[in-house]
Amino acid sequence: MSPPAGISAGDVLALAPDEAAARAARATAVPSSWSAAGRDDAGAWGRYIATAAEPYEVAVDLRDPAFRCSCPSRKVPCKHTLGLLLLVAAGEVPEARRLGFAHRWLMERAERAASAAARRAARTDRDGPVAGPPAHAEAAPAGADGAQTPARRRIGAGSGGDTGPPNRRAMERAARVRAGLEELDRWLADRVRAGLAAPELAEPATWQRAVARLVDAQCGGLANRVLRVAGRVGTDERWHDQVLAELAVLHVLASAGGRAGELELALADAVRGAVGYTVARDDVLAGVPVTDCWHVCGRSETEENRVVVRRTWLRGAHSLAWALVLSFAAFGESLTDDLPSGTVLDADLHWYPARLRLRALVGTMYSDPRADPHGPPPGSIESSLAEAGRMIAAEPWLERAPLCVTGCAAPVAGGRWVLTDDTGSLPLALGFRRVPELAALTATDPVVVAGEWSADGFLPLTAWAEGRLVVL
Amino acid sequence: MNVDDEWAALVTTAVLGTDRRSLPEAPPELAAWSSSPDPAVALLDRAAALVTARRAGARPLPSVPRLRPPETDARPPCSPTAARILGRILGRGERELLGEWLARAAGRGWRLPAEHAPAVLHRAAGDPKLDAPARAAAGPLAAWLDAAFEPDRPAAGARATGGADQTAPSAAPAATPSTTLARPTPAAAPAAANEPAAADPTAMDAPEAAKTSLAGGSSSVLNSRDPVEAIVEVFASGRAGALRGSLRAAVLTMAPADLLRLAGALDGIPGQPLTAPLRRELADLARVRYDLAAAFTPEDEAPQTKS
Repeated sequence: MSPPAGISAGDVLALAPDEAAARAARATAVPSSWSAAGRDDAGAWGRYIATAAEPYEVAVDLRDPAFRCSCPSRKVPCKHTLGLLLLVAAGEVPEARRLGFAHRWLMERAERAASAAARRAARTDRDGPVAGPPAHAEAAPAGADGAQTPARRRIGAGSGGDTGPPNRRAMERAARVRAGLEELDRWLADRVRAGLAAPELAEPATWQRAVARLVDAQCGGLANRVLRVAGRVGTDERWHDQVLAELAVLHVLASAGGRAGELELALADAVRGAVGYTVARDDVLAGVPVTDCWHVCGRSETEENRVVVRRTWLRGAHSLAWALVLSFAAFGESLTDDLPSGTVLDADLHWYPARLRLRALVGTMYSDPRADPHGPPPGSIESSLAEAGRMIAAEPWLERAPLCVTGCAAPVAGGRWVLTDDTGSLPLALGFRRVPELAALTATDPVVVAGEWSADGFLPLTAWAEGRLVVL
Repeated sequence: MNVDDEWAALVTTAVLGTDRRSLPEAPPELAAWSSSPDPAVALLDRAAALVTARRAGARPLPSVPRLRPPETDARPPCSPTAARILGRILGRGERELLGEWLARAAGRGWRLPAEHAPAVLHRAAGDPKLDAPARAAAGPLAAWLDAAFEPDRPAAGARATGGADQTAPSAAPAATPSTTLARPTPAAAPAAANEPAAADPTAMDAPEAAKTSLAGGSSSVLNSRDPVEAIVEVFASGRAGALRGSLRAAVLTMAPADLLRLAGALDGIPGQPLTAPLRRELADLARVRYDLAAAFTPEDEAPQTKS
């Protein structure tokens, strides 16, 4: 979609709140004043770097015009926003991957629009036979449905496929995803045909091709997963094992995702989630919650595509259910700390649709998080690992399962350490760097340790000792 | 079918590639998983089934005998606040602050939080001022960690046990000279705790050099009655950058009662963007030291700020 979606400089200047802003906007519309300016079919963004010590972060929602700029001006849109749009109109802003802040903002807007659309559809449903949104209407296209605000100004004329009915776009997306998954599966078979020892497997370009194709097909979840597998090539002497295992899991998702329509509903939801469909927050919160006293057992963070992903693990004191709450922030920005490790809170949790009730959102909170001196109820190593196994059996692509056990660190052959109790031992993940700390904590008595179980072993995240939480 | 053998066979084929090596025939249990005529796809099908079986069916490794625990340490654990502040100090890196923490903990008769023991001992190793207090604060855990992680380490642990080689079970090097510091007599402990400012255990470490260099030069700032005013004056006179080391030393030795006031005063100095980072750094340092003193002071006797 080169030259931009029918936006003219005249359209842009018509948005200016006053004449002064329009004049000032022209001065900011200089490509060299901008860093990482980009756009896609939903929005445009960039960092204005010309005058301020800290760049201003600017984002525009092109579909249902809305503006965001971190400058102190109260004018909406401000001159930076208008300048960015003038550059878009001039064709100076290339298509690009979204910057973190823009991505989050645009996603939030899309999700809000989607839930508004869902509520409207529900209302209409009562009034007459109008098809509601498909159960898995994923956020972006649904939110991109400009039809809900016909009276609002739109930037430019119809910008391509965003005016069709939601069902048609959902079907188009499903077709794109299907094509992307078929291509992934062919790529996987090619790797196995040529052999894991083939030189092209060690070339980043081989993996980039698969990743780029998945991103095009809007399978973001799988694209990130492929990148993680690529990162394992050649890392240690067992990498062939690990890479084959991960390629096989990708193969499961590629073939299951291609025929999600034939799968039982919960499994289809789980596969869609792993492939990269998102579910609108409001749809999750509309589900029946589980009310419990939740222990915040620990959290881990990883960075992917300059987005920080935080996993917070909760465990119900009475239900003994595990829950995973994800939060995201652009790299370098901080995440809100509303679920501190080592606290408990009374709250409703709502699960994402999946076969395994794990990923969840916190709904109504009945108490603030309060200190949790003794931690969640632990299990034995044997029973906890069996529970993790049941989770993996339900969703074999699960990368991390939560564990909470009482144990001691103990050395085994080869300088490695395990966490042990009288039912068995867990190998500690190679990436776990705080073995001496864990050993010191458990030197005298076993302590409660919570963490993540993965193909790499056990990654301890927190421990409770001496009546307090220790973050490992 | 042995799952591990079957998996190993698939890995061997996958490494060489199905173009070069034919896929072994599927065992009956796996036959249903590999319907594809394409051997590469069949391999992936089978691998997927095996991976799931192996991961979902993972069993724990056998139990392992634990290491013999360290000798009992009868001292109470330090307070959660003191443990937290130690974490902050370790994250910052000033040896003086670590020394102050250790001295204050010894004053209260508290032991080192176990999870910080490895980092504290590592930081203190080879530092004549810190090594003995750190090992004393860690207690029997110090030798236990040496044995577990640094069996070759000839240093303090061995020296201590060697020197003290008499009756005690030699696993615990409880005889470092400063152990007595860590176990104050019942009479001494409250005294130390009640007078955090006056009995500032770091006072003895106060680098005289800092005082003289601040006092020297054109304006004898430390002759001023008030150390906070003195530091503010240094900023006003434009010599702060040159005296950075001395300013830091002054903050590190200042009485706890003055620290919060100093932090506030540094925050309040207007303009001067050039010295802003140094002012922030000193204010942070002052706050950490204030929190450090407060963490070891009974609640009702927290260091008071002069208004």
